[in-house]
Amino acid sequence: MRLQRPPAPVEQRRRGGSGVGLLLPSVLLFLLLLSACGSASSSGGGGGSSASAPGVDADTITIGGVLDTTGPIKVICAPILQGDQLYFNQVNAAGGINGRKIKFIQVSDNGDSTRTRDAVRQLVEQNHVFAIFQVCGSGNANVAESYTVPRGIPFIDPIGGGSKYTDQSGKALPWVWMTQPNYGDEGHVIGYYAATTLKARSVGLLYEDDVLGLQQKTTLAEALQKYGSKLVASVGYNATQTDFSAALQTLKAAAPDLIVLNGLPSPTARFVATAAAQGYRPRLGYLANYPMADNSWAKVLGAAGEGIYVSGYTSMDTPVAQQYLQATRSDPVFSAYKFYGYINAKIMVDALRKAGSNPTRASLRDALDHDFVNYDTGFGPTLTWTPERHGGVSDFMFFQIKQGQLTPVSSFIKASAVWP
Amino acid sequence: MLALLQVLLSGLVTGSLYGLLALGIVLIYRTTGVLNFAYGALAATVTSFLYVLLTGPRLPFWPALLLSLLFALLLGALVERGFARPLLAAPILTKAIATLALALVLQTVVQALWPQLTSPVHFPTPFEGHALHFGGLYLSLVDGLTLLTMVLLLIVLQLFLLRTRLGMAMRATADSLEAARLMGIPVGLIFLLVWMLASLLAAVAGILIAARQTVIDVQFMDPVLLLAFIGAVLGGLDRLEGAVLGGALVGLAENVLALLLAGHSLGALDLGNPGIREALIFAGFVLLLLLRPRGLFGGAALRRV
Repeated sequence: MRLQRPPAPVEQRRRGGSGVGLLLPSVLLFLLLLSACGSASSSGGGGGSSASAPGVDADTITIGGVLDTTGPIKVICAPILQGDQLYFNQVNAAGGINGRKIKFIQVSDNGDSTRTRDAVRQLVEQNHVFAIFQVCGSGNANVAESYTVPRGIPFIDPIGGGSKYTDQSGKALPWVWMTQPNYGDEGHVIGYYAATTLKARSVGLLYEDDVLGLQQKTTLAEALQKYGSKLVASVGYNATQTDFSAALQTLKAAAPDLIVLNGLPSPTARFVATAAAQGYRPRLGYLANYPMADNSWAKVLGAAGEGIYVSGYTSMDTPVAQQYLQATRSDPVFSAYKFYGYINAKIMVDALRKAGSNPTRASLRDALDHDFVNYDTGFGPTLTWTPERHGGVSDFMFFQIKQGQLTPVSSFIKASAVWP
Repeated sequence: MLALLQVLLSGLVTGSLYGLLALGIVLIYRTTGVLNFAYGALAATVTSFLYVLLTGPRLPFWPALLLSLLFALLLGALVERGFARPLLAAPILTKAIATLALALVLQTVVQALWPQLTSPVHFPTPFEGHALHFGGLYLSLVDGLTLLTMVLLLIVLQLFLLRTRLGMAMRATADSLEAARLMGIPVGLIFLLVWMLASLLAAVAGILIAARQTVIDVQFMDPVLLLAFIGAVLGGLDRLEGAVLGGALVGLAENVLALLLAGHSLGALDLGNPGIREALIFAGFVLLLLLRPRGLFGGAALRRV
């Protein structure tokens, strides 16, 4: 099957921020100028060893998620929710899980991580959910974890490549399971692909200047060096940056064969537009990381996007993907985010099935830790969780924008194969 | 050296756009006493309207632009009559906070009307892909148009304010509302015209920024507005030309610092970090205000005793 609509991996870090987020500092600034010139205490969560599981009764399993459907990241989270509901409805229509229907309660934190804790608390203490399935946004997910982990509440699929699933010593957080890959692994695979397949001898990097971009900067440089290439220049930007002229000149001065674009669709598209306006394109063009693996980014770029390589981790060439396409054939456009929700809802349902006919939080944890070895995710890569490993998939493939469409140009490459 | 010249040129264009926005901010503030935090949302609303005309009914660019500028005038009038006029007597801080609410209302309306703009979309213009070459320097067509538009607008605005009766009435209203009323100036009409004019300036700035970035969404003006406000204060909130120069300074500083600091560090501190760069700009801004509280080009404070 020719892949015309490769699904995007999901990037959920907050974009530039809401109007309030940027305008409020302006107001405060002006107020300054004009004048001069819960911690929550909960008992509702129940421990992992609880014998009678909250959220599970004779005919229902209630799970909860925090997905922004009202704020700045609703563009990502709302279609994910649609995909979740599509899959859960299919399962319920087929009889549910061991006779129990899935009840998925979604609340919106407006994309604001300062509201995430209250949203999760509501789900746990008022709605008595069995487990948390999805919190949209890396920062939001990390806030949620600070509530769920100490209370022994299973949290599956924190959405965002920057979500934590290990503690500071690198040990797996006991109640958090990721499905998405992390940017560190992606940096290794991008470095390998750029050096060996694209034959780039020198590479520049434009990266979002936060912990995620810095992580990829390190791993990209490592892999490039290992495979005979070199990171010759790197420039950080922040998510709200609008002017990329200086960044372009800095990278251009290093004369890289290829520029790797790390971060979010909007700023990276602005960088490409700036370069095109100044008549510049590296010899081998650009290679963008997985948040850009969606045809909508190709469309945003216009003609300047033609030929750009993009990393990704999902394939439509699977039975589950075909099932999804069949179920959504009346949708006017393909939504990669909706597909993301669908395939992750499948993982959640499989976990609940594996947790036994009378699931408890402990049995769910046991299933997640022991019954997901080389698990077929349905979107290409396999997933392995163990008590020591709670990270997501780590296989990547590459696309190239051809006639405004992302077209696959590689098969999957395992991060562990290029950086053991 | 060529890189520095290129960055200076780009910085000048960026600064011109900040200056254009600062111009509208100062115009409204001077005349009506409103610190308009909805100014970016006004610009984004009109730019979104243009985007819809270009991609929906697929109107040719120039007629669509003309319709959008007319829409900007109408929007300015609506905002003045429906929002600013009822708040005329409110304290300045109340008015400022109210504009924040107005910004949210405008963004919500745009999202409801044109949901495709909740995510980034390509903003098509006939200028895309065209550039002028001077030796090794590139000036994209839209950047050239930005500089030209800025100069023309400044000249026209100065002539209008200094040489026409309406312009003089605006200045008189800005100087003293009561005196203007006593002189028989229809201040209500003046307020209306000021908001329409400022809305037009916002629209021009928004469209030029969108054409330059080639990517917009409903919030694309938010980060730009903050820097435009800094330019407005830096130039002195009571001078139009100061606003333009203040904006230009911010744009130049932003670009030149980004180039010069890239790859440098101070001990463990990465000076190329965009956060450090912004901190330096803000620190310089605060320092300048400490030295000149009314901005670089602001007039002396008058105190009646």
